[in-house]
Amino acid sequence: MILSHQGAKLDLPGSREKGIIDAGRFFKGEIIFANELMVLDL
Amino acid sequence: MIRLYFVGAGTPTPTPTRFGTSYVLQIDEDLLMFDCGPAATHKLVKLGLWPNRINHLFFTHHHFDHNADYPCFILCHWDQSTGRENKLRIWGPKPMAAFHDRLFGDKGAFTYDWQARVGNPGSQAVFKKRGGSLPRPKPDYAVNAVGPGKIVAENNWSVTAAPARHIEPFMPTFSYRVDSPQGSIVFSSDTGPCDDFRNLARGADIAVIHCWDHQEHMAPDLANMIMGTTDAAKLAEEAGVKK
Repeated sequence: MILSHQGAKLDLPGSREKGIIDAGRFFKGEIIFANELMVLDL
Repeated sequence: MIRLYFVGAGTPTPTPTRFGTSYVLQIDEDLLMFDCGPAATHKLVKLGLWPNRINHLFFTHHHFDHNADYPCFILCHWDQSTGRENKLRIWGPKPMAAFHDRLFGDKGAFTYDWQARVGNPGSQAVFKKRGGSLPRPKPDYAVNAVGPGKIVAENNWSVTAAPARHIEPFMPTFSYRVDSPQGSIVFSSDTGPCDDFRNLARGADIAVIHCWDHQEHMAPDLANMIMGTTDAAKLAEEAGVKK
């Protein structure tokens, strides 16, 4: 799962990591926090 | 080969690192673009993607953080074209056709631009130097309406749309799923948790989900129209998203 379209508060250092940890309590697969100009080979 | 470019990964609020939404999914030689938010054209080029290489452009909805760079993208696509590229096909929910016509139609906001470039001798010289032949054609793009279900299928991929839950009844929003022999990917766009997106995402290899904030900061009305962190995670898990 790739999280994108994040608001400014969620995108802050520390806040990003908390968001991934919170999401990881419910989603068992890999979680990626999207950044602009990022490229992923799928 | 499947490659996903994050052209824009932000919201309507500009920050130093994010502004608006746009993605490009490359499946072999085809480039499928989803939304065209602020500065998407310039960000495409920063990623090494020349606008004329885009084959299909899909809009999820017509909030400005998803469509504001459309005139720039189309004018650049048309201006740089020599007429020998693959045709760009455009897909979007209402008011897609009216939106396009009000920009580039006979009375469109940018019609003075392309009329001048078509008719001015200096602009014609630039066009010829680029490889074009006169008379220079005017912008001519196929704009297609989107509804629920499979909307386009090519040799090695297909795109299916499902209604999202965002800002109805002001305008519709659609989520998209791309299936190919190399895998499946869903793009939620802006939506609260809903069965239509859950079903669209069922068993997908990858889900790109829009996530506004920590769940505890999401007011009920906001959480109804876009997901927070744990709503996104719960939906992906319920749908059986693999990654």
